[in-house]
Amino acid sequence: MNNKTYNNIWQDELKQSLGSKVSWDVVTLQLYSTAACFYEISPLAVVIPENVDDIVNVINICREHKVPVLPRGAGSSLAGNSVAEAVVLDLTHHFGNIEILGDNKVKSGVGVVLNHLQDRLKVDNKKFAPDPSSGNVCVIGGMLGNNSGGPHTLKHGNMYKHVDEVSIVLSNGKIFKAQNILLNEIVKLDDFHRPYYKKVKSLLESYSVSIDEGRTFTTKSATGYQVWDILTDTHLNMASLLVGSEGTLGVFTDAVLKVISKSPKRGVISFYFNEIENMGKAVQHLRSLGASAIEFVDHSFIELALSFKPELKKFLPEHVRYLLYVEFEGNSLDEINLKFSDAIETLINKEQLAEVGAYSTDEAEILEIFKIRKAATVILNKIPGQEKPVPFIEDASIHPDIFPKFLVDVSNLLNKYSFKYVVFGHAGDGNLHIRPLLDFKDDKTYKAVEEFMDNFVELVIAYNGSLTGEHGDGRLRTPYLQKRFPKLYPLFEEIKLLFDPERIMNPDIIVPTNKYQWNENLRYTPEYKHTLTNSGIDGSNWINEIEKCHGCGTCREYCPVFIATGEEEATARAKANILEE
Amino acid sequence: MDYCLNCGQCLTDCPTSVNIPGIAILAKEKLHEKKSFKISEQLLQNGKLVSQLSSTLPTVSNIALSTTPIRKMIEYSTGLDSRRNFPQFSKQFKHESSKAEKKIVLWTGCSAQYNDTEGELKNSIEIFEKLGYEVILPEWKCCNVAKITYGNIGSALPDIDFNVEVLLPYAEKNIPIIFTSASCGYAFMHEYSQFIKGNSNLDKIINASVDIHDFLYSLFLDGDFADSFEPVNARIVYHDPCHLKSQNNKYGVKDLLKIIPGLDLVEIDDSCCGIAGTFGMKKENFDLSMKIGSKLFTEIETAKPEMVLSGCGTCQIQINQGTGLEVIHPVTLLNKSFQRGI
Repeated sequence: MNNKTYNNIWQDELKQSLGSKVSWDVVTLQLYSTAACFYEISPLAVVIPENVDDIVNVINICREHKVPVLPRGAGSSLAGNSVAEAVVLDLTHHFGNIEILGDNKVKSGVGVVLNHLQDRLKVDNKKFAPDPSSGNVCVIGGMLGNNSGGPHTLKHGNMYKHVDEVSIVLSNGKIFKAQNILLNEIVKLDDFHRPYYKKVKSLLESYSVSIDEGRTFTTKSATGYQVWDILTDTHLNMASLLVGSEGTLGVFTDAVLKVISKSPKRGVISFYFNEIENMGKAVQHLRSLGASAIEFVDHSFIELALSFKPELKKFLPEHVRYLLYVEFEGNSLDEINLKFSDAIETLINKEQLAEVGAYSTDEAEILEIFKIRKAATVILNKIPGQEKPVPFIEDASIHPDIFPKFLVDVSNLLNKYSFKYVVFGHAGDGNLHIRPLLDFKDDKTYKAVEEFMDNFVELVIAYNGSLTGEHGDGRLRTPYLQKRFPKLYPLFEEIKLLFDPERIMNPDIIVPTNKYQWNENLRYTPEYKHTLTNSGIDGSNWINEIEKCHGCGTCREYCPVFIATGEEEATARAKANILEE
Repeated sequence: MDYCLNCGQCLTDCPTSVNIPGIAILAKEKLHEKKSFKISEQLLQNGKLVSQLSSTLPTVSNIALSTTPIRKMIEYSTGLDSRRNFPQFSKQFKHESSKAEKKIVLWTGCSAQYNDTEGELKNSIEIFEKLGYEVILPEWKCCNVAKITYGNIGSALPDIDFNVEVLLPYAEKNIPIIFTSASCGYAFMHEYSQFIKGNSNLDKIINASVDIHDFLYSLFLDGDFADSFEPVNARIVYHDPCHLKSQNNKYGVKDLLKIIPGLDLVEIDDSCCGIAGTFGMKKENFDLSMKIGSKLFTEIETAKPEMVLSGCGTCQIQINQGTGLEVIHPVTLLNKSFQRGI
């Protein structure tokens, strides 16, 4: 990144306008320099806005002095979406209102933790469909920014499908309401809103061919701006367009979300495969049988789980190479049992694709079934030694009909570089979470990874897949967007210029002001060295402990002090972040 | 760094199990090379000494601690919050067990020794004697969990060395060292080995150390308790102290409590009580400490128990202050239920 210098007037003005809500002491800056990603960039300042006026004030001052602004949620994103040399707005302290609107809608502030929203909705037997695994810490703002998904995207789609209205503070300091409106109502909008709607409509019309041709062959995607399926013959869905913009178009403050009724019953059945092709065929059948989630793990994952916990062997036969967990929802147990027998009939008796594993409609037993999957995720993060699971090719999605072939190609590519890896993910959407086990501090590995990444991107493009199914582009995939969408990139540029002509909003992401490589600003590189402190921490086992923290932010859920204060500095990852410097 | 209370929750809940308390302690140690500890911190790090002095004249101490103007003066001069309830100090207690084949060393922390002699201390001794054990109560010095938490590791070493010397003969004879206090147990079984390396005598003691609930439940599984339990018809809530949770014990305390017939153990969504040992005693932390505990207090109040059980002296103080309910050590109740002629 270019080392831009800014005059100090903006700091004086921010202090004057926001007082103690703004800080730039080294400790605070260090806390916000990372997230669950492997990037590290010190922000310029951190602001804890209390209300929309505070956000407007920050934006007005920053625009005046051309200082970048970055809205941030829980910092649980993986792709560098929430770190930048910018004034960071931590929106998780306030903006926590939940207002049930009726008609299956809820208005939520951007600071609301997903699970807290779910807890509230549960009272009325409802739920919000997107369900990223970080639901215990991630907030609605971050989910809007990244167009989040989860296992149930298979049935319900990503975040953009569940948003009715979004309020966003634009870089001109004005509050914009993005809605899904009838085309013939655009003329009735006020003088501030109308030009935006008209311009977006005309842009989408003039790029309609490129939008169609540039569509990825996927069932799930969170890449670029969400320009697909938002202009229909009757409607323009401005809210959906803004979902997935990763803070580059403005600062979300609240959203009207669509909620759904909870399914009265569910059941989970597992299937074992030896051949990936068979698993691929099974996924097609299971999709047409209406499964609500199809999750998979491969042999690398199974081996990992068994090597640490041999007692899990009783849960599956030795020769199994691929495992599918399939969930069916329904109104009654009979309905689900019927779906189980349909699936067994097709997969086992008719097509002879798999062996059937455990299945149940009992919640306690379902947890047992998921044991291998759960154990491996935990173990994955606890692997001793320097090689860590690095999330850099962690979220590609390929159409479920062709993803098994893609998986074979990726495995070959990983083997060519002799990278150890584990694969798991949402098979129903062909959304693969691949984690190579690497040490970026090693010079040879670091160089190999650079080349590997280019090959991986080529492969995804060859399959017309998406580089990200649910995590967003961030710093990881932004550098490849122009290559991925050569014809659509100018449209992305136009959208950026419409909403943020000064380019102050998260200016490195999606349509970056300055070009850069994905491997700039990494937390660990061959150049990384632990600064000696002359204290007990210098011991290699303690340095390992510090580096083990990958910033996932789960401590925001359990740390008693964080729960009470809501301050990032109270979290456990804050300690590791400070000491990592 | 001061916000890390060394509750040990990261050791159980962090997906990567990063030893955050460990690194925070070392960071605090470094920070305090230049910055001296406050008076309140010095007092609280020497809890045993303070307790020992207070319990030489318990009546005077108790009256003093419950008199507002005196508490205001203490707050002003030391930084200990005047709103904080302090436990009553008891008269010091001496006991000698009759000789027996089976022996255990009972390590009772400050809370049992100076505050709850009638409860935690006497009942722990009694239950083992009923089970036919000779209870050895050695002269010990503070486990120093507070000093370690404050990063004051260096000054904790003399006491630890002293304790190692006292306990070593027992450990070498394979006599188990039983901890009634969650935090003392945590210090021995978790903290020492992190910061003190290469002390084989200490390792022997660590290996001989067991939490009292864990030990009693394993005796129960071995059939040692037979079936001599009187029903206790009480509605209770159990709170798991942080330092017990992170000990990675084999059994849960609730397993042990379920032995007691008639006991109505109400399940709650348990969480941190907020006192974090000495943290919540300081003036600057009192409000935050009560705020952290508020979720637990509400849970307990909703459950409407007659009393709360928890094997940690400071959790007991905090829950009592937050809910007004009596909080006792689980072993106190277990011993009341367990009937066998001494």
